[in-house]
Amino acid sequence: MNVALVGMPNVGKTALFNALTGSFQKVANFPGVTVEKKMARMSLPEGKQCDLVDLPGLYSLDVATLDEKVARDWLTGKANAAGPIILVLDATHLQKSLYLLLQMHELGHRPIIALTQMDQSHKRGQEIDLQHFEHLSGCRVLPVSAVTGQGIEALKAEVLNELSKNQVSVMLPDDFQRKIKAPAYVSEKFHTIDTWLHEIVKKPLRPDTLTQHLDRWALHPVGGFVVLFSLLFFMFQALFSWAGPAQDLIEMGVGALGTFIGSFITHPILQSLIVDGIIGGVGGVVVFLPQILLMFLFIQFLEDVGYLGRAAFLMDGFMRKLGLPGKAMVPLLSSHACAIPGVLATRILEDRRERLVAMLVIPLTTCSARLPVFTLLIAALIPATASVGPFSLQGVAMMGLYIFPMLSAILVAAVLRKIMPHDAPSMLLMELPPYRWPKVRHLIRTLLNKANLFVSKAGKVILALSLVIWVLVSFPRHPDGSAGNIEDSYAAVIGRAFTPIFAPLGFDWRINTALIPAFGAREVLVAALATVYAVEGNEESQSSQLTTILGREYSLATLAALIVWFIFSPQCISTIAVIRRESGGWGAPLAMVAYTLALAWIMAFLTYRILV
Amino acid sequence: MELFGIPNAMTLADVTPIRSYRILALAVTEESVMATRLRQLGFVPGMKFVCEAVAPLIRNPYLVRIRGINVALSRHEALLINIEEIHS
Repeated sequence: MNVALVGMPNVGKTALFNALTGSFQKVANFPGVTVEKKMARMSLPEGKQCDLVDLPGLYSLDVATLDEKVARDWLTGKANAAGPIILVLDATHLQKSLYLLLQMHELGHRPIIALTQMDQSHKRGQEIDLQHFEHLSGCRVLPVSAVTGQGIEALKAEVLNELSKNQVSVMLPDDFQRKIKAPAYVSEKFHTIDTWLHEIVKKPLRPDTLTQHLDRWALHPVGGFVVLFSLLFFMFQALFSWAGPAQDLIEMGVGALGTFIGSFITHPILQSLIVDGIIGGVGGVVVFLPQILLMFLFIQFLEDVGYLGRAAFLMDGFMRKLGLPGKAMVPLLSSHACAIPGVLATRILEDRRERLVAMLVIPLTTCSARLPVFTLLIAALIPATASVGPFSLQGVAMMGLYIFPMLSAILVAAVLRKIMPHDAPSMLLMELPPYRWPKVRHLIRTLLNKANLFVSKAGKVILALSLVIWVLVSFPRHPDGSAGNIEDSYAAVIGRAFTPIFAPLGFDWRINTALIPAFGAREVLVAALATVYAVEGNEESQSSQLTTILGREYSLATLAALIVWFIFSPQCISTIAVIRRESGGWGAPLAMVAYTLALAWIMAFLTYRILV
Repeated sequence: MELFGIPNAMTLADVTPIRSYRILALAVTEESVMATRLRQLGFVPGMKFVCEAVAPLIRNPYLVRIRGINVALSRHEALLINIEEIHS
């Protein structure tokens, strides 16, 4: 039987989910049609286990978005396999949180109540009569802390206790969905909450002065933008200067590994396969792990702190002129880590057409898979020593490669809004959660997950593609077994076949050969180029010198055109798949692929023409 | 402006920071997504709220404190909410 975790948005549900299931527990996506529920094993006392489902946050059973509908269906019994329910209540937001509890009561649910943010509640002088709360609600009320782990074991024991009981069946009155929409019903519930709070809360909460002070800056009409752009600028500079040392270390390790292993293998083909194909290809991509993790860390940090909502608030005036609510900034910003969570985050947009537009432009933003490509090409174009004032020119160029795609995405969105008919005006209407210091454990868990995903992808997809490319570049060999001329290799034949399409952009067969497998995943371009040049250069070349080789072999125009190609081109199978799933059809992903390909070709062509 | 058939009715778009107001009526159909979101966040007739911030010049968006939470609204939504000021 599954145990479900429900609660309003921003009550610390995910942190509690992590604390209950353990930081290193594998999180599986719940099988569903268009929705994503998180599920993981939770160990209980007496050696027992159960599955814990993290349902999306919802304010009320009167729902507005897809995500909320998933949670609603679980509570109204439309989703089967329902078992005990843990309701997460924020002790510092009882006025808001209790609404869901009252509605669950109406359906006959008696959830276990996990009371979070108790430390904040104490700090701000609030005193809650927990016994009286239990008496009023008829539920067990357990204070828990995801940070210190306090109350977690007691909560698990209570879950075990609930599992042994007979489950209450949910009673859904016929007119329930209509009834809860009446303002009189809502007012009555609010009145009940106030009566309860009057009895439960012995000393009231002092105002959250930290949030008030921070918002004075973060939401200031001028200061707010200074804060926003400083954060972004800091992020891009850090991406280059902080990740550098770690990257150099991995690079040295990969180089040393290649030399070390290569010295044991005498067979020339086998040596080339392992050193050039496997270590060169996969190593070329793994080098970028520090940068990618740093990007994920920043986005996760901004999200956990509660800043993304502020960015939405600031940008609302500007975004509205383009036909989208400021809220669309949330998925657009989070897609800078990866387009997939970005596409999922479009669920906060209630309007179907707005959501579609956001999904269509998200693939334009600079995701972390573009980092290896851009870093490599920038390094080939701009010397590391060049600087603009105190900032490295490479860092500034990288920032440009975030700003320009972002502006393109917003511009394309504006055009799409003009083309597509839209009746309902877009709405902002969202809660701005209080600022919270992020839980280090949660950040680490997210990073470990990402690192794991990236490395296993490098180990499977990129490894396989590197091998294929190595074969294509290394064969056919001369009849006597010696290495053939690379210009006659299969790779060259395939690459040349694409010449009519890519020659106008200044790409030669080597780039074409690397570009084709990179349609599966962008970062393969780096692995593929590394393999091609490792095989071609043989003795003197190593993957670490790829930037030098690219700078020597290609003109400024070609490298710039390649960068522009990668800004627009839809080179990620997973993004296409997630857009298909989230939009519920092939129309949106195909439209996205078609327009981005056209845009990529035209913009790269123009770049090449102007610079050549 | 003419809203709810009343000339010069005050809406949430007319609020001033730090002052308190009471919601009188909402110009939304009960079934709409906007109405749902408004109800979820506590916007029902009779509810009190405090204006926290208004972006100057363009007067969009607005930040109000209602039932213990901070809610951001665009001018669009603000115009649909009929209010009165509470003088204390």
